[in-house]
Amino acid sequence: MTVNRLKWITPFLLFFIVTCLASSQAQNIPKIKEYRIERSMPDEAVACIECHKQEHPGLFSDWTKSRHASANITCYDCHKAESFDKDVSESHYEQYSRSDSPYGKKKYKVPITAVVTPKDCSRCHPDEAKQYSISKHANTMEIIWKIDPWLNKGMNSDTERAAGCYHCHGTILSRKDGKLDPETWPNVGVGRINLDGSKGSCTSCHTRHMFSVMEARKPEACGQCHLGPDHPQIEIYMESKHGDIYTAHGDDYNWKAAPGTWTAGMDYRGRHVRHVIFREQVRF
Amino acid sequence: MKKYLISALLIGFGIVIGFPLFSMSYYTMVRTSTPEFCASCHEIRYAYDTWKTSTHVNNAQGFVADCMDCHLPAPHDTVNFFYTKTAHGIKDVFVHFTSDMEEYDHALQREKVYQSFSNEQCQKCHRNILHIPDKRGAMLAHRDVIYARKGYDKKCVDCHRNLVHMPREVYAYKQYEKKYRGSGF
Repeated sequence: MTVNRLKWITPFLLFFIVTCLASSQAQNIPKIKEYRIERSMPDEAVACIECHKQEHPGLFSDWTKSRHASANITCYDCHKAESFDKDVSESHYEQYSRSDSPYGKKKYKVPITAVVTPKDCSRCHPDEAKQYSISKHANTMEIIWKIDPWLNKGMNSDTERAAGCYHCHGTILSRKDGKLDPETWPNVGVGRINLDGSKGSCTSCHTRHMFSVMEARKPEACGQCHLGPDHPQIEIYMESKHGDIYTAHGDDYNWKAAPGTWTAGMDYRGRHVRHVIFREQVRF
Repeated sequence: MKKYLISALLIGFGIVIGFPLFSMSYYTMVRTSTPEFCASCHEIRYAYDTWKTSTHVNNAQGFVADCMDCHLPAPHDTVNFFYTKTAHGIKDVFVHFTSDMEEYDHALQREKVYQSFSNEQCQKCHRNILHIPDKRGAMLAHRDVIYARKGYDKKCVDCHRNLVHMPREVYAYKQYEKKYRGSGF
């Protein structure tokens, strides 16, 4: 009787052991991530994505992780330009006559710009861009030239200015030899003077192309610029009790959440002025 | 019999010539009526850029007023539309090649356009302006204009100035802008 029962159970046991083994092995095989476009977007945008996926995989994978990607905001939505815009990329047109890419075709040809300005962002984020435009950040170029003796009295060299001032405060974008002057671009200074008449750069804090809320919220984002002898905020902060608590417990915070009671860029006077920093009176 | 044949041939000939001519000129009119076409001249790019960020393009309705909608007689005023458009086109090309672009004075041109604007242009779209529940002043002002007493004619653009072609740092969405108020007489 016992032997008979064993006979009956054996195949089930075997099956159980084999499945256990198989599933434990499957866990060790890395899952290959695939990217498929299952969204409604113009063919031109598909071409941007597919080509940059090959050309700039890092940039591409950052974007796929972004809220923009999941909200179906493509490269083209932010980078679109008019053919006569002052910051339009002439060299990018050549990409549309490439023979080594299925997307290097004339039918995908659209004018684009590398510089995405607050004005471009304002196509979808008008409130944020408007608040930013009247902030100290956006107008910092005017401010430094008004108050800084090092600039006005010529006490520093061009190199010092480029690295020490304009890197954070922003450059005055200009064109040279048919493209953006390499002295002025790339630059993501908060007060960059753009060729479309807008001021500043959202990328200073909202680093492209992941546009991670966490990245912009952490004190280190501010510390990229608010450091050093003439504006040592990050040092002061990190040496303070606040900074110490952040260092100790920061890992437990929910950084992916929307801004709370106070975060960088969030004005303590109210939720409507998130992008106005240190202005005395703001009325809308 | 021969007489009929000749007239039939003439009519057929007329159609063969006339139809392509008509469709080509219609096609040309459509192609040259887009804001993008207007912006192919340097002089107009300021107007195009400022128009693109204005509330006449950015609003909750997704409604867009093109250059033609304000700056030319209505297309259903067909003859007037065709001749005015052609006259403007010829003048623009002539001036483009004969004068210095650097001397193009936006402030001066703006005043000239205000002078030439007729109320009918605006009223092609803005037809329902006599009953405004939340703005009685505007409502009464509109009555003064539409039923103007003799010698008291006013233009829409007398009160509604600096509406579209203003340089902006951000896109001005109508629904997010301050409640609109005409600049006044």
